[in-house]
Amino acid sequence: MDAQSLNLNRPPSPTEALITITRRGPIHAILLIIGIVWLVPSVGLAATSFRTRGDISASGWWTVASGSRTVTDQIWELRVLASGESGENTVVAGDSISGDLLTDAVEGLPAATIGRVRIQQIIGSITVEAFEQPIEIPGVGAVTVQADGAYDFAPAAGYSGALVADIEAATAPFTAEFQLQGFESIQGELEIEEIGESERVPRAGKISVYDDGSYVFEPRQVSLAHSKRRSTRPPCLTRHSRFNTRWSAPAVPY
Amino acid sequence: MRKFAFLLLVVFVALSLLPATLLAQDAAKVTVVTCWGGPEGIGFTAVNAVFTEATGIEVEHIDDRDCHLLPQIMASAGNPPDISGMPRPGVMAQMAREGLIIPLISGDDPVMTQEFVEANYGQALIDLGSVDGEFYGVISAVSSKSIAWRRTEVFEDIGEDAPATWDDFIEYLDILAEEGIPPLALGALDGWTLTDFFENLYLNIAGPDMYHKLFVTHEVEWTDPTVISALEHFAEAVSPTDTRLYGGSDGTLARGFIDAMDAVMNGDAGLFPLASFMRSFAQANFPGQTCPDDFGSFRFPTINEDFANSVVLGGNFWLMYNDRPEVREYIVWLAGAEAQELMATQETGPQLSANFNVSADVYAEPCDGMAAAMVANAAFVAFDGSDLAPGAIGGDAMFTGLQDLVANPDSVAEVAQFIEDVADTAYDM
Amino acid sequence: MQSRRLSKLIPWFFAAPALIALTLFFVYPTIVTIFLSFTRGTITTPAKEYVGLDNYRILLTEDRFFLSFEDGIFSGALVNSFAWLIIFPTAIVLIGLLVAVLADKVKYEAIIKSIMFMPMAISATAAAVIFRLLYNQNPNLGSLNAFLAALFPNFQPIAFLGSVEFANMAVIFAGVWISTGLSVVVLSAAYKAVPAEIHEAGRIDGANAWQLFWRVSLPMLSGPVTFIAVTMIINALKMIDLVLVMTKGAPRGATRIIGYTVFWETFNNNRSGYGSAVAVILLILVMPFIIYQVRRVRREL
Repeated sequence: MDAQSLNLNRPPSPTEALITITRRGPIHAILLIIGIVWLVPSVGLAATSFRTRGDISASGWWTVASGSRTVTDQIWELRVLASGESGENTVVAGDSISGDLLTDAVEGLPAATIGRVRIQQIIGSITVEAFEQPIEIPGVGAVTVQADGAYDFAPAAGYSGALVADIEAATAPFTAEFQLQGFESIQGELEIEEIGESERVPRAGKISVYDDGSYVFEPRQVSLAHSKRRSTRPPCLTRHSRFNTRWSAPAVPY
Repeated sequence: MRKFAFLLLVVFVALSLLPATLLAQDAAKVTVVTCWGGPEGIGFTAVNAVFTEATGIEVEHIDDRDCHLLPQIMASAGNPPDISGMPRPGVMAQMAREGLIIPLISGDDPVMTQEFVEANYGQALIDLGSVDGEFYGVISAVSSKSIAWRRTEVFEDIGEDAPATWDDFIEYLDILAEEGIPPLALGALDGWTLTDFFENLYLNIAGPDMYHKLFVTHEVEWTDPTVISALEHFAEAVSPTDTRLYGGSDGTLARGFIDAMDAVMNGDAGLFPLASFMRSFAQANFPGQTCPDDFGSFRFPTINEDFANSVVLGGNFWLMYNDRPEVREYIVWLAGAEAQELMATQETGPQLSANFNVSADVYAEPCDGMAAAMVANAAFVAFDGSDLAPGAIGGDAMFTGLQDLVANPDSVAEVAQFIEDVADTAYDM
Repeated sequence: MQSRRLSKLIPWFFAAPALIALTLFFVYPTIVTIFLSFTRGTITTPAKEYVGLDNYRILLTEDRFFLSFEDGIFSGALVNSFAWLIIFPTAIVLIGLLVAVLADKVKYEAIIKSIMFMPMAISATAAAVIFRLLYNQNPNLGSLNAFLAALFPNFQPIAFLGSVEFANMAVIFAGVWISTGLSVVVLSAAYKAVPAEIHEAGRIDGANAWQLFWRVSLPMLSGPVTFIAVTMIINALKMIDLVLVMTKGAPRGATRIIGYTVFWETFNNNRSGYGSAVAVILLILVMPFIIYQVRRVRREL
């Protein structure tokens, strides 16, 4: 009896403490999970109660702490591929592009085909975990990152977009964020029915072609106009994160 | 026993209103029952103050959420109000047939002259306020349900005109889908948003007479070809549900009307067909957004040219229960352009007027003016049909039937049969 | 002689206020409801017409939202209520028991119990609103879809409250979240009240922790467990508010349950007789549990 009570009063040795903790592990885990599940709705309710109705309908309550999301620009590229030759323009959303179409293509309007339109947008981001190993991005190409932060991008056949990476001087072991440009290309023939009238380019904007072969392309501004209310909201991310149409490449385990 | 309980209720209500009714006997005083508490009530009281100042007649305003019920209970206690604002035309018709309310332009000494009414309200609205050929109710505080909300920049970027015909409308939905914008944000959780959509289709396809026969008298069955046609138009708009509906079928069924409007305001979805009162809901959630600069609406497309310019509306009918000179003076004043304009221009709780002498320019909100003008100048009007039909139809079977159609647009025939089965017994009550 | 008669009357005199209140507010409405269930009418003019058992016949055979049998699957309010009846009390008792027993062994017992009890302080309507947000299909708004999307690549967001398969379970879970706090507190108190000597005796007899729980603690907890279970069964059958705010019985009737149907048919559809028939069916279903509960309480007294 005496020995036992003595035993109880003695502080547990590190080994004993470890045994207790490991034996108790499942208990803590179960309580932790239940506790979190039960706490989340209450915290959500509390966080939501401090937000405006507009914010509630625009972003999740858990974004309160993390602040605004990254803003990316929309980059548009218009290539005119009529008669085998092409003109190219790249523009950040909001501006308009103007240039010259091959005059050939415009002859015979109002029914000439001006060519194909390719639109590129910044859509996703990927995480790189290993240096000097080519990372395949389906439909886009492969990227290889060097330990000094430099990178090579080898575009896949048929892909002409760019890849932009912001890599700080790397130290091992390595995680780096990439920003990818592009990968939603829209191509199609467009009938120009009237000189000087703007034609709708599906999902891209409007184009007006003039009889000297020049054109003006105005990217659509749908999502940019939201910035009146929430300047932090990235236009194309909004559009593409809606129902998981976000570019699916990050699914590849890098 | 039940009658006793009901009597008890009546006595209770009557006693609670006793001081008011006792006072009303006194001098020139008018009691008016409306549904308007809150901001609308404040605005209405301010309007009444103008009347009192001009005539010396006091107006006592009783607001009650069950303003369709209260006058009936007061009347069965022997003390009806003088005037009430009636949001349900079905109850108006029933009270007219029971002789509880007084026709306004019939009799040797009409309250309102035919000329006065015709000089202020369109014939379609006069017909709407008539029961068995006699004019009982002047419509006021209207809303137009024949519109669809959209964000201006979405609309303009796509560069389309407001779709005027059904084909244009479908094409517009396709263009939105092509642009990567889910075309329709419907709030199917609130079934009445779907019934409003259907009512617009039906009124425009079949016209006001058939509309009346379908919802009010059930002379037209839900399996009628006109109904099938309207349901098919509805199904055409929502299918394929994956591309036409924001969030697909399931997302639509889980969404309420405010969330649907938010989706349009956020630019997440293209269109939300719902009534003009959504303007204030939108601005409450998105302060600083102006209508029609940032967001706005266009008129529901015309399907049948025979019934072009048709409008489904909601509103209040001013009804008269007691024939006294001051009551006549008050109701004529209420219906006139002066009072209607006052109600339209209140800072708190402005009400849309259906009087065509009230200019669309007087409204603080241009969108309100457009909606009011749409109602005032409509060639064909119908009251919100789900409020006309018995609750089991307008508040349940139509909801679930159209929700079924959102889930499965191929089930037009089944949906029609389902609503007809419910209607079969619902009108007996 | 007279005083004895008086002394017989005195208890009645004291019981009278309660008896009158009971009659007025419980017995009388029950009788009226049973009567109304045999009639057809509206709220303002109930009992227009005597229809016998017609309401019950329609309910059980023709109303697809109450009970239907299609393609080999039963559905309708009765079936949805059955799911509530099974899952709701079971989950509440199991989670309550788990937390009560496990929390007893850790230092942060008070914290975890507070967390579990917190929802009890939130009104059902507020809880319904936050769960609507949690279940939102848009992963930018709905935490659950955001969580699942982060966990599984290529995850297609689910409209939990809009899908016929998930909606009823989603509402039931919201109910479990609200009600488990009571279960935790009651069962925890009961668990602590199990005398330490009994445990010690068991231990001396060589029982391990599992056997101690199964053979010693649980039988001692059977009273509180039954109390919680029966209370929650009755609550499950009566449930209205959560359904009304979260789904209004949608999608396609998948979350309609009996308690909600009483409200919906009577007040929304203005069918007082039909709604009363549902109420009577509810009464019949709840009655055995109430009788059992009352008997048990009486026995314990």
